[in-house]
Amino acid sequence: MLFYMRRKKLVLLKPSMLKNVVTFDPGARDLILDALDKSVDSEGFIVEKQNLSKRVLSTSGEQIKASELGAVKKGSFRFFKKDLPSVISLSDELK
Amino acid sequence: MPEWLQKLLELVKFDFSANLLKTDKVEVNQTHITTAPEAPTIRVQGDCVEINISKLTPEQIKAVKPLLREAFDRSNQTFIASKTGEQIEELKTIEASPQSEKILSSLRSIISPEDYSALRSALFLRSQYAAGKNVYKLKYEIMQRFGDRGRKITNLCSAGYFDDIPDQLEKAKKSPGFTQDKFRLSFDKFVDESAFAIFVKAHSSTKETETQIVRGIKDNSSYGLQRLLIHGIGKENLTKIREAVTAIIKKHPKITKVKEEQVGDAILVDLEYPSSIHEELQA
Repeated sequence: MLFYMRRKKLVLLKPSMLKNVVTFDPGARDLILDALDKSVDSEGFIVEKQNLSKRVLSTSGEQIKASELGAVKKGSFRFFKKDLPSVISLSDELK
Repeated sequence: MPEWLQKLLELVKFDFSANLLKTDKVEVNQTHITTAPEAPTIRVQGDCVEINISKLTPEQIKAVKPLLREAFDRSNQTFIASKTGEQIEELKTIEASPQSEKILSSLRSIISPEDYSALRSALFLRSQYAAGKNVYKLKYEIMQRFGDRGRKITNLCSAGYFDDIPDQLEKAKKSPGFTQDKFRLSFDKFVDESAFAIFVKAHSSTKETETQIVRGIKDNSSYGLQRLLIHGIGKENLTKIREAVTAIIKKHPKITKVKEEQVGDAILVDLEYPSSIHEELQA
């Protein structure tokens, strides 16, 4: 159970299923991207901070908007979208 | 506790051990970054540490960024959006349920990896639907990734077809001449043709089955489709479907049974009819 959910129900204290993760609320997304040297262009796509015309690609091979971001995993930078099939792939990689 | 997190706690002058509750663990498995107004600057609960960045000073924020980068680069932390994290936990729970586990483990090595992923998505969607949630977006996401085949697998899953597959597969394995390739071929064909198909429910009567088949013919013929496939699993369904089809053909001789296949206790009947059957059935 995520901490995010526990905050609403403080009695729930079962251990997280997810290990070695940093979860973030939508309001903290820009900080996360900034920490990873990424930025967001005028159309909402995630781009390289050092090259604002270079849009990053998701694990499904598409350009990815910040609003579509589900996760970032190491392996250079692996951007997962938040659609269900991408979440399933991510879940398998977190095992 | 990883080094980057220790540095972060020092940065905000947070005494970790002094803030542990009896229920908390020293091991930290998860860090959560929030901007929720009601959350304090930092708190510990269970195996999680939550940091509210909206309550940090600009200098502290500046210092947090390289620590997050360190977490990613050196501690192999994966950064996950809260909602995605929740979805992963829900997915794990759903796939650990006996029903889903049985379906997935029986088909994992048989169907294609694409179909298997579509099936996992379909099982997730079904459980969300059962919980009363809106599944429109999930359905769209499945179609986006897996196309029309994903839509068919989702519809079959929602209709409960996959619930009987593990038992059907076990029985089929005992039949002479069974091979996984043959089963996969019949599965592929079944998914491809599912748009024309109806699935007879296990607990319906022969009369109800007859009504269901006639309704299927009416529905298909109203869109110009001159074919209906009837699927059923289980010994009762074998008899029921044969009886119902015989009764229907007797009443409406324009309907022809072009094929009947039986694999183990599973039956497939293929009916064809002219487009004029629609008016006849309406009468």
